[in-house]
Amino acid sequence: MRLIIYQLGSSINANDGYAYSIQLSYILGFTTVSIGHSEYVYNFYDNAVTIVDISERLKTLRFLLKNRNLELVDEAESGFKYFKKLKNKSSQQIVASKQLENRINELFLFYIEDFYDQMSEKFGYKIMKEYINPDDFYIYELTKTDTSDFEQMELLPEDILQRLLPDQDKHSLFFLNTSLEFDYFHFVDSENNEAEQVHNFYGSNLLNFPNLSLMTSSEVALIREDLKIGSLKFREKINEWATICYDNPNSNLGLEYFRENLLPLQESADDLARQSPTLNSFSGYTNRKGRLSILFGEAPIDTIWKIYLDTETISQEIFDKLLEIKKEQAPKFDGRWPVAVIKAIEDKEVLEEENEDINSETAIKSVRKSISLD
Amino acid sequence: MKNGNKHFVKASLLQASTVIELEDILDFCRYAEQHASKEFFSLSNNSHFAILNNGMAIQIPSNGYQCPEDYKKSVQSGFPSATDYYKASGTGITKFEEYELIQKCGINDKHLFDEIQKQGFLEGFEKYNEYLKQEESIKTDVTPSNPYKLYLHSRENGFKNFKHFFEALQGGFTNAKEHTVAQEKGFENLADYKEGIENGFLEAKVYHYAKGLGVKTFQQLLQKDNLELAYPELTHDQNVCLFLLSKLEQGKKASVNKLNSLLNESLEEYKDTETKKLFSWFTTALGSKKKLAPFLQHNENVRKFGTYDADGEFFEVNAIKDRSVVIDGSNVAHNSVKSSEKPSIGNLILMVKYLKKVGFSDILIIADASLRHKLSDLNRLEELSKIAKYEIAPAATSADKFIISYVKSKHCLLISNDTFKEHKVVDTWTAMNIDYYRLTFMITDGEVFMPDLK
Repeated sequence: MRLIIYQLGSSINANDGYAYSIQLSYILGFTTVSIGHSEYVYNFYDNAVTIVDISERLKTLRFLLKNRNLELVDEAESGFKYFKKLKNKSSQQIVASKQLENRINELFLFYIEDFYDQMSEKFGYKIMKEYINPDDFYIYELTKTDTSDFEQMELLPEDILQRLLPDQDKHSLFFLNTSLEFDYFHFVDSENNEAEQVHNFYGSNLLNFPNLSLMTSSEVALIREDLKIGSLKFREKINEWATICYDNPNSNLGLEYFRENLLPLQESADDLARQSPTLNSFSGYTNRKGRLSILFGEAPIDTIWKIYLDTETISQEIFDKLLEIKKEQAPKFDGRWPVAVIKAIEDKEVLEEENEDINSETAIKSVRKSISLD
Repeated sequence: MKNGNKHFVKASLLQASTVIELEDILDFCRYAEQHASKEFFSLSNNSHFAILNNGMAIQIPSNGYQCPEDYKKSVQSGFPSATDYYKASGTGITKFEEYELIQKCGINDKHLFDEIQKQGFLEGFEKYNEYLKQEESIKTDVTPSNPYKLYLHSRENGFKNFKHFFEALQGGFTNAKEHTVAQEKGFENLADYKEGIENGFLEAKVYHYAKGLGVKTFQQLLQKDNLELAYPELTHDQNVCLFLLSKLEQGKKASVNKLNSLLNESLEEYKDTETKKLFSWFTTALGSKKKLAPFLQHNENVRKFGTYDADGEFFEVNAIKDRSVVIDGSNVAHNSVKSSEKPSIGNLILMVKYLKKVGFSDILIIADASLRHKLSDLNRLEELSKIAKYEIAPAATSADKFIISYVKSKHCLLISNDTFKEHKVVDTWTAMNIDYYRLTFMITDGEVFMPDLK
């Protein structure tokens, strides 16, 4: 069973949930496939340091700096061009030209390291990079759709979202990371009768984890080992469920299996994480609000596509193309596909706080608590 | 057939003037060399090897060897029999010691044997056994019975070589991943590491520090630190009492009995869930109602929150205006400011004047160091400084953290519309308590509105 984590750097949900999805999928022992900006950042540093041409380095610097400190690049570029044009350089000009090149190289190395560090922190690449291998965690590269120098020809977004992926013998399940409200998807709990309507997205929260922001690379490996036995049973059930879902599209057989075999796990959603002392040790560092949960369920196929559209992972054009394919190949894409969704656990208190319109011009309310003496 | 530079000839001995049978193959070979014998004879279906010298036959039983050279090599390498020698050479092994080890290990692969040797398991096996004998406390699920099994055991548990395995074992670790994580956290042995992470410590340094203080868990350490931040000179229960007083409903009266009962409730947080006793590090001075009353009456910190009437045996909580207040400078300066506009000192002046008008006198403003660079009206800073104390958070410390720490230590009120959500995630004290101190506000059309001060 593969979990597909597909997200672009420009997606509106490009946040640390992306890194957590990869980390959680990996520590649960699922084959983890990352598509999107991982190909860019995982390979960024190695690719960038191989650029030796000064003009190319300046071009990369310009890209990295976006709108900040561009005068620095402008200045270096005009100096570089000036020296390049000179035919017979004096010894002083040669020295000055070399000094400028050295300065550009220093800047280049500083900013690629800085960029890589930022990206690593945000998306957890440093933590996961050493675990890339053909069996457990790998990257599918996207078809080059922009002018970025670092992307390689591979998969088309519309193919990914039809699950036309290499190694078709393995089931693939999309692992969604979305900040969109669940009501938006016509989401219903798997116990709800409405889950039986195939146009509804049903699911239940099956696993809870403490906040992973403190996890190191070595801990990822240890936690995966700690959870080896517990996660195996879980994966087997998920695999059976996904097989039923994929083999019986447009039916409720997947839902029946889910209710019978997976839903009971909801009551012990915290138990798996507890099997790892290392994971447990993070619990004391964050309150309930820092925890994560994984919800499993079945989503209508076009809802899955819509989520990728609304998170700006695919364009409207691709989405329309997918709808066209759905029409042409009906009823192939009419049913639901099994999915996993990562969510930050939001308890009542947090939701209330978020709903607080504290800066409203028209209302302000007291939040102050006190110990009652009545 | 040639054997080395010798000819090797199958033959039968029909007659010789003298036949001498030697006992030692090394003597036989030495004799052959000394007499520069060019031919070796294999006699009677290879039962003997022989050389001829001046009509004299020198022979030796072949003992199952195919030629004298093999026999010599076998003896020199310590093999007890031709069978062992040929079995060993079939797998590329030339020494009997190695062959014997391989036999013991139950393997038949020279490359594997070399790998085991290269990784130090041949030498290490003995060291390992000696160590286990010395350190009886070390518990291993399996005790590998030979170097190969030790090698497998070590590999299964993720170790690179014997050195790596043994180093970890000396700390009690039998799993390489666990050893790596423990090392990264600074733990030297498994027992400390297990106890540390079980009790929420992510670093050995903090674990040992806490242990030295008699504090068992990381949460307890935070509780202790937070308690000691406010009144380090007082006992922990006195701190809890003052913390409790700072959260009571304003302007109300409470009997000493009621306060005693609230204090006992608060102390539950500092008790071991199993023994129901206060944590061993927790110091006490207020054992009973009799001790609580004098504390309420005489401790000068108590007066910040209310007054104790000894005759009536009740505590009257101060009016809100009598409390100290800290203003979240950046938050107030930014209030009602659109994203395109700059924050204003004017907001802070309005806030201070409003607070003074309703009766507050102890007012402090804490702001980010960067605020002054963003202000639309920096020139009014002097005006503000005349009516309230204005402090800047230390460099490299966010004003939010500084403000929270200030509230923790002073138990003063805080004026801010910030929910401190990020801090609540990582700091239990903030999550549980900040809203006992936080007053919200709105500034609109030059007016300040605070629902708690209506």
